[in-house]
Amino acid sequence: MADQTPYARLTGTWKFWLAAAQTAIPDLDASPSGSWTDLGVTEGDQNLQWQGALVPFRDNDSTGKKKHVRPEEGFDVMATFVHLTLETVARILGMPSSAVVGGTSGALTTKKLAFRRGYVPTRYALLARGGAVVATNTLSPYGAWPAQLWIPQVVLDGEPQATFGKAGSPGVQARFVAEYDTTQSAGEEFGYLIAQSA
Amino acid sequence: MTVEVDPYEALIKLALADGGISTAVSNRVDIWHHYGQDTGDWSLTDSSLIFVPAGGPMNPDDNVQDVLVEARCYGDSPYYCNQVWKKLLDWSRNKNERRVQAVTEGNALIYFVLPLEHPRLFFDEDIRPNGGMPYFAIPLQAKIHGLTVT
Repeated sequence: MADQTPYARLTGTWKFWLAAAQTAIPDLDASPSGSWTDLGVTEGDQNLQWQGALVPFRDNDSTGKKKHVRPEEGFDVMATFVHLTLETVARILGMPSSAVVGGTSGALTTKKLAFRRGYVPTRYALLARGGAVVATNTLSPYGAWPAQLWIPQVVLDGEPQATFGKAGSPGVQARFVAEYDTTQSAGEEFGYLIAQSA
Repeated sequence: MTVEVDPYEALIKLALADGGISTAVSNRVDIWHHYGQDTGDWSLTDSSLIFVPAGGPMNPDDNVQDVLVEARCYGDSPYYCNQVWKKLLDWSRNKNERRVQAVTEGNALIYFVLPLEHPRLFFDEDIRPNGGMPYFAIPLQAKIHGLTVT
């Protein structure tokens, strides 16, 4: 195994974008195109979670485990978003971008987002990187270089609640659950993490 | 466990390399001030940025240097202290990516530099007797690896 370098300690935060499901991953040295909606700043920790507990098998010859299988698996991304434009909220909640409707109220120009989310959530593609451009994206474990993760198909799982208060601003807690995308290459159905290595 | 990088030197050189900070304080960044009346001393009206070592947690099993410093933003008046503080804030909080900075031993890897609080205003009587020179004091946390990187 190669020596570990200080770069392998991945201090830093992700920035997140959503786009229509199965939108292709941008090149590492390119900024996300206009198809990707920047979800803004997050508050608190961000979590990547690999799901899939192993089930062990034993035989009559041994008290120990002889083999393991993983009957279920998944991949989740969790963060709390605090830039709550209606367009951002709609996407985080799994509603189509068309859920935000422009209009007027009295003499005022408005945007409206209905509360009902519907039976089938809208799928999105999720992109996360250290920063929009190479100079601010230094989450590669091999150098002060860019890295990004991409999930071709995610939905929001959960019942987010936004808490308002005099001394705080509300955040929407999001758990993005990767869906198994059969259009991707084998092994990449939940997307992947990619980092510059040289 | 070899320690190659002086974390305070890394902080100073990283700050000096920032265009915003150098606009506010020129090259007057150090871990102690150089105000005085002698040739080469800083003028008593100059702005400066001083990183006073202030401890920090120590993990004896890890070659990462978690340092706390008291950042002092000196200025001719509190207005000028604030001009330095704004540049310090931009340099630390708003550029939170990992950064590589050339130091004496090679390249240092700075994981982050983050202010922990908003500034407090003090007056340094050692620099300017009878009233003191104003400075903003801000606790700052930084994480810098002990080894150089390529």
